[in-house]
Amino acid sequence: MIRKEDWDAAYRRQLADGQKRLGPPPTFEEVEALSSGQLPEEEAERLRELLSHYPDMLRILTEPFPDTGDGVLSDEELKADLDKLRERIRTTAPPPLAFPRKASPWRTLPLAAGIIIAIALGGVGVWRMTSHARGVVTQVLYPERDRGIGTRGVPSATPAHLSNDTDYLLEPVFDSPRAYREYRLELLDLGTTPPRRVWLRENVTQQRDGTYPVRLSTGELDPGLYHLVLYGVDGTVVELADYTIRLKAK
Amino acid sequence: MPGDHTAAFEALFEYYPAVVSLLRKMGFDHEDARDLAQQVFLRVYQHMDAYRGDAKWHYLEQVTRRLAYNDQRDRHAAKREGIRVATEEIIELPDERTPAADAALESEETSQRVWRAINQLTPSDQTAIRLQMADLSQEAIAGKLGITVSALKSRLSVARKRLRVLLGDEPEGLDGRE
Repeated sequence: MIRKEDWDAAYRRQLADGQKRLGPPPTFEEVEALSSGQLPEEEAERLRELLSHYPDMLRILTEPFPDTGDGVLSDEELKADLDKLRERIRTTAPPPLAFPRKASPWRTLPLAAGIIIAIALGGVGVWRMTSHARGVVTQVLYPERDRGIGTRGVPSATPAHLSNDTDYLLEPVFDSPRAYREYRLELLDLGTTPPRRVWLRENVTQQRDGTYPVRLSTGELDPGLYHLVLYGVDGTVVELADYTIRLKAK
Repeated sequence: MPGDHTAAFEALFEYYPAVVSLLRKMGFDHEDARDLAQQVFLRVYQHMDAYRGDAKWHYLEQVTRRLAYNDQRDRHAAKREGIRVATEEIIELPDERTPAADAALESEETSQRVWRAINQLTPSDQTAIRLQMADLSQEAIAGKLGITVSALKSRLSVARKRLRVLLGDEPEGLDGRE
């Protein structure tokens, strides 16, 4: 019978050998690319092998964010740290570069009024041209791949092809085996490197049929490939499933 | 107004202990965790423009993970530059033939046998075994490695079968880690 201690000794030797042979851990950017499935399989497998030799790095990547930090710092330590932080910000750190500023209402009000009038006039024109109101199209989405938590998705059903300039009610399907405190959906534009977030919807409602409806107007989006990602939030954010959407020009 | 930035930033301070706690759980000692937490909050302050309205703790978590990862990676690099990691593990064995010496020798032989068996597996199977032995959440690992948990478990099952053949023994030492 092989004891746990013998396994541990063999494991430590494996790690030491591999670290020497394969080199330092992958960069954080490489890990991000690996996690999001952007890498060719051969490169992905190389990184998995490399990372498996660094359990301390894996711990850093996977340790969940704690609900509280109660007791980790004494009151004195916490006060000292926050005072030090305030002082460092005051004396050394540059101010934020582009934190959203409040614009003057005297400049924004006329601009907003102009935009509203232009939209209204444009809307009337479009309405006259089309002479009928456009409906909302419901589109059920099946996951590209689950995150190993369970799904009834049909991989071959993706990507979903959507038309430009249409209002959709997207219904991504995911059978969540456990309830999360909150669900989120994020739309990513895969046409940019790294993928650009188009929007993030928080507090998405889980329906009884295992869908998470969200509105999507494609009028403002460029044709191309997009990813809709479903997250479960419960102390930490877990990526549950993603759905590929191909947006076609009309 | 700079005051607005500071107020928005100070609203994040309630998460400072949680960030320190996360860093401690990641393996940093108490003082290193406090130093890194300072860096995390400074980085957040300098990049408030990148904040897109996610949950505050989620934004802090992303920055913390990145800084912690890079810090630990630097430590590995420094270690490689300095003391070379010994390939062979040095086992201190007593000179005399005592029961303790016999047991230590036997243990060393067994661990070498396991080590050789693991080395005979395919690189993919070896990876599965190491990930199992890392003793971390399979769900979280699979997500980070861009594979599903079912794929990870399937790989491990295959690797264990091969190990069983090579060792002529059940790899029971792995069981407590699942």
